[in-house]
Amino acid sequence: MKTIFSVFKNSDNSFDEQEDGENVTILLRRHPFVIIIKILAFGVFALLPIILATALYSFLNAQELFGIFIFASSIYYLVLWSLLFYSLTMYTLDVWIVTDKRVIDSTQHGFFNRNISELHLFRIQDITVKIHGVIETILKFGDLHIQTAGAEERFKFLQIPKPVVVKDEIMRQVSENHSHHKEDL
Amino acid sequence: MDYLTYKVLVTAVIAVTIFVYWLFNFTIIYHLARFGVGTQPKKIAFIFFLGSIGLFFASVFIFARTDFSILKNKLEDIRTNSFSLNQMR
Repeated sequence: MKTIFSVFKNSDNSFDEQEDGENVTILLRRHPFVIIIKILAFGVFALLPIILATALYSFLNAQELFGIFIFASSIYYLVLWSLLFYSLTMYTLDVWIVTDKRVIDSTQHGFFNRNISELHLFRIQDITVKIHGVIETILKFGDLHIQTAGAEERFKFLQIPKPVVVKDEIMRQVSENHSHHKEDL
Repeated sequence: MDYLTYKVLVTAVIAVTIFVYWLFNFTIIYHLARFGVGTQPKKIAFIFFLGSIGLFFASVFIFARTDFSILKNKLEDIRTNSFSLNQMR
């Protein structure tokens, strides 16, 4: 029993296709602001049946339809609950992982559409941080673009918290990785 | 449509709806538990599971206590009224 509940307490942030001896140094998701906005929108939708019940109470009671209205509301909340957690699932499964060997970009677009790309640290050439607008500036989140040597598409970490700190940390790891490579040669 | 056919149809629709609902919920829980990195997705999956069970049984309880004959009578009234209106025209 203790083992089952341990999944909620401790984790080494392991992921699919993790190599032996590979350690996760940074695990990133979008800034909580992104999901809080969605949760607030769901909160507004959750108020709808209460507002309707208050506004139409006398009519529903006179027509003896209040019980049916309560049942319809319960179905509405069932659907709303599932949709809220669908949004949370999509938010949670969009992750960017920095390990001591590589960078992994895993984005989820719907249940059965998942993109995973990886980039070895020694291939990183430069990193750009993009912070757009007032909200991103105040809450300190933004995009981080990683450019490789080739003409291939850049790695994009979207709406991550503290992108400047993350950039510095990745650059530090890149230089460490380069020095290890030189030592090996 | 006779009463038995109507009842079978309604039961089938409810059964399919419940199946689709739980399949959708299972997919959410599976994705969070299988592909989630760290403890956060597992916690979300657990909260979602508890909430879904609670809301589902609350809905079943409300369904059992609701008198749907009122709705049936109301629909019948609307149908009869529209029919009589058509006849009057």
